[in-house]
Amino acid sequence: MRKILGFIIAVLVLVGCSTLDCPLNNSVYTYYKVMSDSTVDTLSVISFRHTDNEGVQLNKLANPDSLQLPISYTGDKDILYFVSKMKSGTETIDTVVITKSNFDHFESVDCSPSVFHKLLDVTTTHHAIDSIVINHRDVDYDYSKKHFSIYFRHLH
Amino acid sequence: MITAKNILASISVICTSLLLIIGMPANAQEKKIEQNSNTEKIKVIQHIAISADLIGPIQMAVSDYGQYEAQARFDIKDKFYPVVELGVGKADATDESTQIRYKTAAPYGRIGCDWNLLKDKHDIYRLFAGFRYAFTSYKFDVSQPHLVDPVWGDDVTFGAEGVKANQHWLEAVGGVDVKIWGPIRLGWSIRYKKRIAHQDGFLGKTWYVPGFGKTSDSQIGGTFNFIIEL
Repeated sequence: MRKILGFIIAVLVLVGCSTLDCPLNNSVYTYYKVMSDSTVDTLSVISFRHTDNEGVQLNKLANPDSLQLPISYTGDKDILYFVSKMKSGTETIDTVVITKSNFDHFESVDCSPSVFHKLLDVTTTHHAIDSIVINHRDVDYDYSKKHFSIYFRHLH
Repeated sequence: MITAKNILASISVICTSLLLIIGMPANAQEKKIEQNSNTEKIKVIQHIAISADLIGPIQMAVSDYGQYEAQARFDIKDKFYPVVELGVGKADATDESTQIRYKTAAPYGRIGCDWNLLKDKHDIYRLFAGFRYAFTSYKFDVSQPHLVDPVWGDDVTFGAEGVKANQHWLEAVGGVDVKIWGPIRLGWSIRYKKRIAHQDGFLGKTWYVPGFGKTSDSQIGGTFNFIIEL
């Protein structure tokens, strides 16, 4: 009887043991690759919160080569302001609009909920930015993908 | 010289030999009759056993998931045991840190066969090994009532209801059961479960699969069975 009880406890422990299977990288960002040698000295990206319209700085880089930016959980469009300060001191602001769709993603009850996205379109003004091209439309945990290629104008 | 004594001895030898010769077929016949009667005693289907797993309900009581499972087992000459298992697996789990709730309840089925590994097949103890093929089709609900976008501040309703999923898997089974009293037996089994095909639905992944356990490529599980032989 003792042996049977011991076995039941062993099986319950085996069955009850669990591991956390959350992916190591569980952040969802969009990744931009700067494709041209630009005269941009520093690049700041800001947006405005939907709740209180307060400005949020998403990123600030010197001599940008690439950048990663968050993407909103909800909403069909994200409006981003790329503030480019040239080496000459000139500062310009481009408005980039990303049109997207959103998909809830569930891994496990132990893992933080995530939202994946599909990039549908991107438009930009052309003060410092020449063009932005979508390379990969799926925005998920894969941080090796460069979703956008951004081309700056040569300004002085 | 042939004496009476010699004749008597010869007659004795002949009679003894004759008796032996007559006796052998009789013994063989008795042995054959005994074997025949033994063979006649062993039916093809010795018993049909109905059992219930006791670990599943205990698991349900002490954790967020578990199952109710019953088994019908056919005893073929105390050697082979074709088995059908049916159960209902349930989960209702909410994680304290993420506040995500996962809920599902669905039936599952297994079919397979066990083999009695003991030399004496008719002993009250049985040591068996076998396999199962299992399948379940289920729906699950995931919800997180209060998810806030950390950058843009939006309040997001996360999750979905009635997400359809299914899974096929194989099990390698080993176990023991023993006669306790009359038709009542108790037994336990340990199982290695290996997923062979699955569809997790549109939400990403599943967390608990009825009959299989928490989602992974493989699992180790067990049962403790209360068995009645009919």
